[in-house]
Amino acid sequence: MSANPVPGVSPDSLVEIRDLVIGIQRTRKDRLIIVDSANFDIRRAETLGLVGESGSGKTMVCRSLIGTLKRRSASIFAGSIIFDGLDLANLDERQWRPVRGNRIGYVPQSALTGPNPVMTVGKQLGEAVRRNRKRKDKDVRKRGMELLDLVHIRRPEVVYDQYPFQLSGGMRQRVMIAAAIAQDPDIVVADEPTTGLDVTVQAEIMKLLQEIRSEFNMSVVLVSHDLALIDEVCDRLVVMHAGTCVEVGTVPDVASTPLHPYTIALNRSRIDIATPGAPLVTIKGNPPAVGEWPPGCRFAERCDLVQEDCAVGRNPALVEVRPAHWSACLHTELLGGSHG
Amino acid sequence: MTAPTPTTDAESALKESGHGDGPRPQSTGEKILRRTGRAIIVAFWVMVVAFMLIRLSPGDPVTAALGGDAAPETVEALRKTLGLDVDPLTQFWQYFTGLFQGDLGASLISGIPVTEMLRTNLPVTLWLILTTVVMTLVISIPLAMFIALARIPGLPYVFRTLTAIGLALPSFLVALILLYQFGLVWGIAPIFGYDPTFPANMQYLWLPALVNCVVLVPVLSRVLYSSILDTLDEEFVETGVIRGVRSFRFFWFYVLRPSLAPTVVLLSYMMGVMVGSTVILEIIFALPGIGRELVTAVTMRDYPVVQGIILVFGILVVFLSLLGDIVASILDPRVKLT
Amino acid sequence: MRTRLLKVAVAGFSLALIGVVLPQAAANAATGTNCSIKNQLANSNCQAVVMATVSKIANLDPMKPRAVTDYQVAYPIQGLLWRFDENLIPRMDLVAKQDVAKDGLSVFQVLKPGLKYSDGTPVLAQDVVTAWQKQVEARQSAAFFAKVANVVATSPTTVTWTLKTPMPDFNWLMANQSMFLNPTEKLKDSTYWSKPVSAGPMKIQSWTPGADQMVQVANPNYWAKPKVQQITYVAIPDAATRKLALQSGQVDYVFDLAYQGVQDLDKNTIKWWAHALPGTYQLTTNMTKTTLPMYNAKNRQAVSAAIDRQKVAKVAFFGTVLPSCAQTFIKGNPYHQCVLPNDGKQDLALARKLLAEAGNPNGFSFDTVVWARPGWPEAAQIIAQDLAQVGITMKITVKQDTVAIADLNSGNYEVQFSGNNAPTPYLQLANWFGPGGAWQNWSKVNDPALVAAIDALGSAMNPTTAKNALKAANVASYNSSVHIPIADRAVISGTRLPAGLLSATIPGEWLYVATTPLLSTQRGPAGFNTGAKS
Repeated sequence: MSANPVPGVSPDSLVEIRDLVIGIQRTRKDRLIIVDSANFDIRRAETLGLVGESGSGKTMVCRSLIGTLKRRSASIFAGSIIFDGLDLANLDERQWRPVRGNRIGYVPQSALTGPNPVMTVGKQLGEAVRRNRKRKDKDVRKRGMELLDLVHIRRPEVVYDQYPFQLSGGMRQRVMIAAAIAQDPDIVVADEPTTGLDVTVQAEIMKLLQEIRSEFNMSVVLVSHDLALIDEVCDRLVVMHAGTCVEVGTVPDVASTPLHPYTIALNRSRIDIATPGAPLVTIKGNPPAVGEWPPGCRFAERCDLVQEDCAVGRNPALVEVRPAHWSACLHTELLGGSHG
Repeated sequence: MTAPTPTTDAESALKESGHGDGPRPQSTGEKILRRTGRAIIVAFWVMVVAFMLIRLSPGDPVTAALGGDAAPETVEALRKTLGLDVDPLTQFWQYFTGLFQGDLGASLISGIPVTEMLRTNLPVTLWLILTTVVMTLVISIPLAMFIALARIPGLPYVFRTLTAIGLALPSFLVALILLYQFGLVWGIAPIFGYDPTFPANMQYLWLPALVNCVVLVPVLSRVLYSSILDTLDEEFVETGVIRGVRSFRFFWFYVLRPSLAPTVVLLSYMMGVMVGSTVILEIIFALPGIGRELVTAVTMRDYPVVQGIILVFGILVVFLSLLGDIVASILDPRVKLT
Repeated sequence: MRTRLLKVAVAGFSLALIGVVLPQAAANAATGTNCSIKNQLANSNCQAVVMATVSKIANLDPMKPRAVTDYQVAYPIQGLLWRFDENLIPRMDLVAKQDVAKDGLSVFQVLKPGLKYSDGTPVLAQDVVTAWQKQVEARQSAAFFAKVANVVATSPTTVTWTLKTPMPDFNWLMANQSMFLNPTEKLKDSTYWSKPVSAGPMKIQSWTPGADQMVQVANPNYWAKPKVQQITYVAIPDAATRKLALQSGQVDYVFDLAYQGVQDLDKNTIKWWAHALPGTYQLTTNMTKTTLPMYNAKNRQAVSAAIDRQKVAKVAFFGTVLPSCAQTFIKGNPYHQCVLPNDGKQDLALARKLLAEAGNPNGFSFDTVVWARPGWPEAAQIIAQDLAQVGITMKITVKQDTVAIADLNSGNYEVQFSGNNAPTPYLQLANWFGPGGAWQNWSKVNDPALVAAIDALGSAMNPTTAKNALKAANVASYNSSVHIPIADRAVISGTRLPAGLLSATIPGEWLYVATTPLLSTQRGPAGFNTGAKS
């Protein structure tokens, strides 16, 4: 066991998220904390999975990376997000501008509502290409076509002048990816980018993201509640539960030796590896509601292996249980062999 | 990792997304043509109803024109002169055939052709409607945006209360109050009159249009306000922010334009309703519009004038709703023109 | 960026508003310097005045149906042999001399010398004949013209009228809108009535048929000088707006103000007054409903006795009208005498006595249609309360004029609360009770004694005979009580102009414009009319 409380420090780290606390200031004195103690790194050219049930705070962490918390009335109360010497947690609107979209791209959640319905594909791509800078229209169009080509849209010259409602969900999401990579960013944040798409299209989009990551040497942060998907495309993953990172590690490590009962439970509830005919296993209970977190480990109430010391004291911090594999479980010793 | 499958081309993509299935989609021109055709049919029925209503209602043009003290032979003579001695079916046929020659008949009272009355008086009503639309939008849009974006606690509540009050006020009362305050106390609006040239006519139209606004702005700004709130919740607003879209471009393309369609459609519908309220305003503000002529014509049972004006009003209402749909579909391509 | 957008929007809107509004604030022009109610007519200086009419000017052709406003604006441009002054007395206008034969059956007229229309065409005696012929063709003012046998132009400046019976109201016929003189030749032009020439004090300067505005200027060819150089007529249909327009000074003369609220007009700048109409509000009974209680004359007289006419006049009409005490109108009627019991004051004891005599000591019930005009439903309400005191129930239905008239025509009514005017007491009574009269026609009243009394009035050749005949007719009318008089009628005018400059003499028909010399100095021959004290 390492004494290093900070997970994931590595020379490859592109972004270091430390003790991030996100919440909503409801009144002068009343704060609703949605995420506390998010701790992980994003490494260069990796695909990082961010997994957890809804309400676990993964989307908030995402938004903190692209600086759009404020639109949801949320803000960062503590902690840091160090990216290339900048602390993203403390940027004002003006300082965000060169970062957001330029160095960190974003693929929205829903293919249905992600693209602006009143603008043509070309116009939206144009915005991403232009970035408020003067560029000749001809050049913008050329670059737009290039981008559409990059995301494997077959007739870019047709699609370029179409409105989103004229496109399929998969194509819309490709357009969104094209817009996200327009400025050749270091990181692309994709918040459940395949919501509402059917399975084959979902796979295509994932493959596309993988391809782009490797081609442009980008990091991809993929948010999902679908562990199977993460397993398939990600290098490392961060498991979030009730506003906390409960496990961080490489995909093979976490798959072979999960170090948190929550991860194990998530794995058990996977549809793709369920035994045919056997009843589907679900995680018992509901995740604790935001703002009503119990003391100690927030998974304690739902945990099969809960011990007396679990539900008391502070929320347990991540500990590097094995090399480059962190867990916030106080009793990882009980997990040995429970999952093969 | 296998290479991504190239996407299906546009046609099959269309199918996949559930849009545009069925036969070849109609062009906007065809749709407008079809809508116009429907409008004409509606106008015909409006005309038939107008023809019947005015004849079925008690009272006739001759006694209305001559008053209570006319001798019976005088009444009979006038009836003959006005062509009212034939049966209603013949009257309708004469009217209907005349319509195709651009002849709407002439006033039984003044003898002025209805087309002539429309030529002089309809523009006033149209200008009033146009001014109302512009003023309503100019007031509603910033108001709705301010309430939606300013996030001042309690403001939406105040807004809701005020809109309820605005809606509850009868427009003739608002008209008289505003006319008293702006026209007499402050002396910044003429009490009556009209100048048929633009922009001189604005001087006479802004106050009646403002009265319409008292009813329209609460409704429209409330609809727009909730549309804007809905739009702000949409993800594409986020993508806009991330692309660094700012200022007017952001407000127009990412906030306002995606929110405007329901407001525009509602406005065009409300304007149809407001055609009725312009009648009251034309009387109170002494504007020589066509609505005022209609009131006079109804009390005088001036059949050709009533029929002609109701026909035009019917066409106007249908046209306004058509226009609203077209504008909405231009602003927001998601809106389908049916 | 949010605030910037809002700032721009607010600023843009404010600028637009200011751009539209300020010029208007500056343009609130005042009329002539010595042009206010404080000035005497003699030394007033009102060059251009604005008058608000209740509707737009649709038609000036007297052969076609015309509305109130049409009559009003036509009167100053009308060439007339006699013309009403502001007190509704016929004065000699284009006629220089008028003689009546001893038997009263011939009238000889001599025109003023050198008369011309506004375009220079001479005014000829033949034009008088033409005016008469046109009216006979159009069957207008039929009751008047029924008494005229023939009209002959005996020379270019002399006319002889032959009458079937003596006609005390002859000068009213001459002064009313029927005798509109126009050049005989020009009348043949079908577009003449869109730009008629004038032999009256004013002439049309600009007007389009159907337009909201007409401008008249002084007619230089008129024998007298109008005291205004220009009158602009503007149509303001709403009474509340007319009042505001007068208060703001944008119009100088307003016809037909609402009863309510005239009291708060500023007395320093505005004068308002009620024009008495030569007419009466009445409860009129349908005499074809022979089985209903109101068919009984005693019941009708009981109703008449139970009405508090003073209260109706005071409350419903804001004290602008006189309560009736006879069938014919009071104001402007030189031979007026009260004939109703107790001078028309409420007399519940009499009402109860009459009810008992009629066999209805506990009262009865009847339906009444009321025309939806200002004050009328309120008046009916007061009457219903009065009648309730003697056990009579009056059920009220308010209807639009056209609908109420349709009811009258079809006989589908029991009683109506209505109003009626006529220029003279004789014509008023003839219209109510005489054969062919509109109200006689509707109510189907048939009372030979009454008709005889009215005929005697219509042929009275001197004031004493006329006075006695009017009283006899009024008594007969009370005995019949088919039409129960309630009060005189009135319409309110308001003005910022010196007294007597403009006056809508009889609301709805004649607009008087002061001239030099004043019309009132143009006295006619005495002793021939029942209505006027010359």
